[in-house]
Amino acid sequence: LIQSVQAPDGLTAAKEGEAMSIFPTKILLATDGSREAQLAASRAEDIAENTGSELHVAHVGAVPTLLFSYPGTLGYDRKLYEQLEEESRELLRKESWRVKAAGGTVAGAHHRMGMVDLEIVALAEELGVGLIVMGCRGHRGIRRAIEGSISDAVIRHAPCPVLVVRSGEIDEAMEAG
Amino acid sequence: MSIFPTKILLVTDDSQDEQPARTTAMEMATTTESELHLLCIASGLPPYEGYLSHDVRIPEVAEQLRKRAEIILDEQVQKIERDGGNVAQKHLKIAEPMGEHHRARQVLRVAEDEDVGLIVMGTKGRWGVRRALMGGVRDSVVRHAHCPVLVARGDRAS
Repeated sequence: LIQSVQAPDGLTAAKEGEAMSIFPTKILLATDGSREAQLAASRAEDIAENTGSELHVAHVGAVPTLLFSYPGTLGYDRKLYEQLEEESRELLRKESWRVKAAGGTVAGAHHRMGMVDLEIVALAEELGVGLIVMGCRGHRGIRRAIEGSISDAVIRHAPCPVLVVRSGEIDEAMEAG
Repeated sequence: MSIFPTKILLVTDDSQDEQPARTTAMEMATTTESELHLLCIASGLPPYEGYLSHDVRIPEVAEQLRKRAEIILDEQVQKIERDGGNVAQKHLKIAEPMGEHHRARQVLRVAEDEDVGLIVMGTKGRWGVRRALMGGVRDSVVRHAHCPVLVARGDRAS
């Protein structure tokens, strides 16, 4: 762990020497259809437009634990799984349509099934994105302690910067427009 | 509606240089023509490190911390200007030791006072116990900020 955190001094110095620009880049919008995610979508679109970046929309259909018959394998209830998959595909279609309707350009829509945080990080690595944008539901107290937070997990494991949009902004955004 | 151009607040702490966060904030500011504000949170050492004399309530210690933080801020400004960016304003806050909530509150207070549109933080800062503390600050800021928060991780990029 410590090795991965600590970069050799020489390496950092060499890296800093070259002035590298991260924009334009690929922006990955991870959405779950919630209000927070919709706000995140408008921010992502905004940034993509202002920096001339590509916007990719992704949705991960969460597979409930009961469908994992043992860790890492999808379970036997095929019908339920297919229903979930269909629903989440529909959600992704809706969300990317919403972005397009708001005047954004969607370079790609990606659909995955599985553990949400892992799939988002894997997708970000696969696409080589420069920025992940996502909403934060802001669970507090016991729910947060038990469920944890997907945005926290993504921040911890993402290969690139992560922009977190919180729900507190929604009221302000509503007032503004 | 677009939030750009806006004010971008880059939060650094006094422990390490956070290159990815700095680059991201700078690029963001230049491409969107936003103002870049720089904030350094100087904090005393926690008592378990064995330096009871490093208490920010002692004026000399606070003064020393302030000086060190100013040097760090100036370094950051230099690096940003070398890379072609501009710093609109520098902010410096002194936090109590061990107070991750205090530190997070300092960040949020500056963000609200300046009415920034985006907070940029790194995660590289500290590791081990201190990383857990800094992680607490980050989580707290993400959770309570009035604006979007961008977290740039250091270790993978380099």
